[in-house]
Amino acid sequence: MSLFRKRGATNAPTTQLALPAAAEPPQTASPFLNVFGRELSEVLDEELREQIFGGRRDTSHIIAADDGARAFATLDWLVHIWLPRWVSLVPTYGEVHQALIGLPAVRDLETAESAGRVVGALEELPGQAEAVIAKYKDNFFEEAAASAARTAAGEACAESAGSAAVAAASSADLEACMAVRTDIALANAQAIALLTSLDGVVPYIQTWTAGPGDFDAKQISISNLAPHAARRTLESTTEPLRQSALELYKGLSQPRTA
Amino acid sequence: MTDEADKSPEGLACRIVQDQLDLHRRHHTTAEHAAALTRADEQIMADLEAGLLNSATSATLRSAGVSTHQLFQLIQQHIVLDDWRDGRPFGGNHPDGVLANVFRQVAASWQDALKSATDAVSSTRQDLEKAAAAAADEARRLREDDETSLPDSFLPQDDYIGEQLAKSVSRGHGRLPAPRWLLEVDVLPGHDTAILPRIDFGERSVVLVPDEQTFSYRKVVETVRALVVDQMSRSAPSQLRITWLDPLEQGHSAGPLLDLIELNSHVLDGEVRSDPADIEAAVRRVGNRMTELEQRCLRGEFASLDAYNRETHESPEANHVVVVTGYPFGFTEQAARRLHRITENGRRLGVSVLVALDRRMAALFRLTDTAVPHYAAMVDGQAPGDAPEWWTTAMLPQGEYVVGGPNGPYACLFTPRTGEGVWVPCRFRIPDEAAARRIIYGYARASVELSHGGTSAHDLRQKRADPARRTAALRSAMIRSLHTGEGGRQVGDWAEFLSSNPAHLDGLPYTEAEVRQEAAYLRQQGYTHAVTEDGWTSPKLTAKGIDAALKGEHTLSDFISNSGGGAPMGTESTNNYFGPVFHADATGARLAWLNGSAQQNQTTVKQVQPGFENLADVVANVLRQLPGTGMGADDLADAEASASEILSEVVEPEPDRSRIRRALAALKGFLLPFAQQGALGAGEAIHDLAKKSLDQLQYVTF
Repeated sequence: MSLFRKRGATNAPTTQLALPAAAEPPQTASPFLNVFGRELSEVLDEELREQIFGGRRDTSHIIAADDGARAFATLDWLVHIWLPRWVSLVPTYGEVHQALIGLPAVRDLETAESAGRVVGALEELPGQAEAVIAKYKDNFFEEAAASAARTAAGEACAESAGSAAVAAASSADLEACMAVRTDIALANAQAIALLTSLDGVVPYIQTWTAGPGDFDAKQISISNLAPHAARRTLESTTEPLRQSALELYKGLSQPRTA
Repeated sequence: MTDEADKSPEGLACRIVQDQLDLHRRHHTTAEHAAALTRADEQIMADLEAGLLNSATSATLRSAGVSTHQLFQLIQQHIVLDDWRDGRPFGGNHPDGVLANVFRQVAASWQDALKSATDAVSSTRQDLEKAAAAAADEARRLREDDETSLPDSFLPQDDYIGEQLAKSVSRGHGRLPAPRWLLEVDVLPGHDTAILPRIDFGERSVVLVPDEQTFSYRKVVETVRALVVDQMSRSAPSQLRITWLDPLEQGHSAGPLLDLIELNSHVLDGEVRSDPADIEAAVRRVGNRMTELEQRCLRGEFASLDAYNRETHESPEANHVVVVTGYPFGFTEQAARRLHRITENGRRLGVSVLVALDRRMAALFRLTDTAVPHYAAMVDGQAPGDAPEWWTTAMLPQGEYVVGGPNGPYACLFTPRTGEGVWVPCRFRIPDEAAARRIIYGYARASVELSHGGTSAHDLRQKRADPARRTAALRSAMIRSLHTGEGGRQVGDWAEFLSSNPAHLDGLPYTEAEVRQEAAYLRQQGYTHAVTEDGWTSPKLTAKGIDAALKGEHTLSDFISNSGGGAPMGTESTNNYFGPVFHADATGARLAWLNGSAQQNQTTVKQVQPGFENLADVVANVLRQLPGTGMGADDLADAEASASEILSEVVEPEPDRSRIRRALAALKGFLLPFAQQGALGAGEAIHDLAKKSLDQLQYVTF
């Protein structure tokens, strides 16, 4: 997809339309689902929000007593789906990736602690990523690349619905989240996103730098375009994960089967 | 004392090591925990004061036992209200109200937990000191307690006491194994009473591994000598034989034990072996002796040589120590394999191997630290650089290893509960040279029964029981005695000979009656002059006697050819016995079966015990008939040995019925095939003879 394509606007209307109020997540008896819905809605566009939250839905079957189970199911998703997807972006972390996938299902504090030991193995990663990006500082182009990558990475956890999942699980069972070390999981994903987006944005900047035009023009265009390039690098990861999180949310909103 | 094992020094040492290990580990864990909390304290307090919570803080609080339940509940409520994000109050504000209070409570609990953890370190340290003092006290009590303390004879000796110990064992009850003071383990540093001995009964093989700094090869060799001398100090006469193999120093490693070559070379299997071919032959001899012991003595009836020796009423079999210095250099692969097999199987057969490993092999062993600073653990070392080409670690002799380490030699103790091998500093008692020589000389002089090479006591008995050999040897010894002893000095009578060293055959002393008989014979045959007719008083060699001494007549044939016939008339000693008597010379058993008196030429006789007369009669008859059954030589020898065993037993003060039954069953087993041969068409005479013998044995009562 071209970076310069206007976003979703091949046949966009030229005049502003009065749209109805965006769909809001339903308020249920489950604090967990309420938090999950609230956090998800912040990263969804209106179309998706409508799709997920629009219309009247029967929430009478949802009870707070199931929130503990929902929290563990969410943590299991985080450990087996969300984090491995991020880790797979780092070729040298093949073993960690396998270890995460091979973890037993997170269903209680004990399995949460087991998962936390694997997640904790990546504790050094954020520091290492910072050390890498700290070197991008000697000129405008490098600083622009670092800044764009940092911004994109800062949004990556939210965009991929990891933050929403952690917030929801924390609202129901903070102890289990601490055992899984969700804060480390989020920080790791952000670090990986930082390095990935940096790798993605640097070639664009090099191309723009080498192109025609004076420095000031390049400076303006790079400042505007680099954040988009950095974010776009991560979309192939954040979008499927967000979609997966929506499926999880929908699943957890269904009546529990025995 | 906590259990039976604690009543032995080694058992107590193992238990102390286990306790020390447990306590040090607990102390170590406690100290590590306190240190981790102390390291985290600053960060934890900063986080709690700022109202931050992350998984690291949470894990630390949990490990400190601080309850976070209320805090978590409260934070969960804030998350639901969207007032808490990313581990802190939304917007990065400090917590306030109830949440701030709960954070302060958690901080206070944290400080309490930190103090408890620090106090626990002091507490476990005190536990360690108390346990060490208690263990040292237990060790002291073990030394002093009348019931559990070691007999004085177990302690290291400066003189040879084996003969005296052997005499203290009541006659007829076999031999008690001699203890060996292997080493002393220092299980508690700074507590002299907790230096506990490891004692065995000569059955363990020990491999000593030198170290460049603290346990040099020279010390290792000195230690091996000390172990041998210690075992020798308490060994009953003739109950310790040594094979010494020194390929590197041509015997130098044996030190004062080399005196044995002059004093009694039988103790040392002739000499110290250093040539590879000699070493291989010597190791083979040891292996052959083990086979002999297994097949002739233990025979599946005794669990070990000690058990056999405790039961046997005849000469017990000697323990055997094989000393190897500088191993594996100078060994052929074949010899090394044989040595390995000896270390595998020797324990049961009273054969122990003491190995001083060559210093070049030391790299194989490496000690590392354990939770207890004083102890060590063994880890894999490096392959030796210039080992013989056939060498593999599978060739390492089996046994208890003593390895040079940072504080001298270390011995391995196994903890009773967890079964861990823990290496503990140890030390050895090295006798001074004068004491060592006293022990060596004492043992060598007392050990007249040891034969050269690997001959077992069993074979020795057979040889000693041969009357022809015995008579000829006695005559020869008496002539030699006069020849070497004359030199102008008049011998008073043969009593001097009786008390002298040559007055025995392979360790079995001649009786006065035997000497009297042969004194008369020598005079009657013109070998000696004597004042009295019985040849006893003032004997002196005639020219014929001097010729015999110079010619070295030493077989019965020599004497017969020079005497012109059988024993001269009028020289027999006459003995009157009341009741049946039986000569101890079992192979040529002569039974005096008279109700009145018996006239016999032999004088070494024993009384058959009442109730066993019939058995003795029957077995003696069978014994006479055995050669006529046509048995093979080996079977015949074994059958005769079984019969002899019965006849030896029936003259004992309290005959062992079970032993008689076993020997009787064996004897019948030898006869059975010949008794059945009639059906197979064998000679009828043989069949009848065997059947008759078998019938006699079948129905004999005792």
